[in-house]
Amino acid sequence: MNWLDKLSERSTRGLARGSSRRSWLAGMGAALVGAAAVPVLPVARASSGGQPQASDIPDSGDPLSCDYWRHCAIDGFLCGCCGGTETSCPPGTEMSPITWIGTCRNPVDGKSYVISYNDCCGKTACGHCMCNRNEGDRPMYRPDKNNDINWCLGTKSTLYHCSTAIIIGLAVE
Amino acid sequence: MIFVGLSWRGRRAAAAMLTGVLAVGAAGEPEVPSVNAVRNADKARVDYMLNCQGCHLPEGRGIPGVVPVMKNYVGNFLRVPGGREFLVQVPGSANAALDDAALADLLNWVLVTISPEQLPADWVPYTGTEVAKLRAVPLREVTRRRAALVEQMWR
Repeated sequence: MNWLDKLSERSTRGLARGSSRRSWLAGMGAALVGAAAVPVLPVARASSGGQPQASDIPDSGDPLSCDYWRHCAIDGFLCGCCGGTETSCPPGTEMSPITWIGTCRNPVDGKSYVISYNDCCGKTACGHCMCNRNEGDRPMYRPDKNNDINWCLGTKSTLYHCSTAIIIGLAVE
Repeated sequence: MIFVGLSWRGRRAAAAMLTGVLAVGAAGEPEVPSVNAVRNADKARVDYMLNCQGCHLPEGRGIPGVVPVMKNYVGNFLRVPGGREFLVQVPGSANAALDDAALADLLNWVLVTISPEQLPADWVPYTGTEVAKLRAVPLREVTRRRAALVEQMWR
């Protein structure tokens, strides 16, 4: 069995020599830098279709206030006051894929942006930060632009909890 | 390289003219549907967001069984008799708060960007005049008409 001992010793030592914690850190570091560099590549930029990235959009105001520009057509509780943010749902709720979409004017750059008011669903009404601005709201006979219907559609539960306000594009004047 | 020095709009116009020349030169060969069918793609894309995307979702992905899927599908309607009319008369199109020219452009944009491979080779883009005539005729039995068209597609 001597040859087997030698073989396992050699492979174990070889593995230890070639895979120090430092080399793992170096490899991991390279991977992290690589991943960060990928969005800079022109291919990734092209896939965004020339649409504004959230970080490029000039912003002002408090996302937890009804007066915040993105909330111009909102009718409901701000998810930011309910354990989520203006772009994400609180834990335990599901974002409705079917949604009311409108435009709001950004006071900083004066441009209109397309906003998607996806509701978060699956828990009873949040009850904090109720906002009812409803700009652009139309009567029930225009259901795609009506805010009084429950937009928790296409989700497991139709229980309404709160609303997000997600920028999905730049409007054309 | 002949496009060097032209604005984007100019380049598109030049490309459209070139396509026209090629289409004449290669008569009889199927022409690949292209974005040239759309007059204002930027406006059509935003009109899609504001009038369709709330339910049909980005890229017309839809929700099978809940919201009709348009991605890689909606072009099939142009392969069956009555389908061309249906796409204008379906309430989401006919009732949209868009004028006839904008609705024509939006429909053409949806077809060439979301479902280009299903378009028949001899497809002719919608015009505002055609859309005006078609949307004036109400479609009462939407679900039944759609089911009949879908059945024809697979016959």
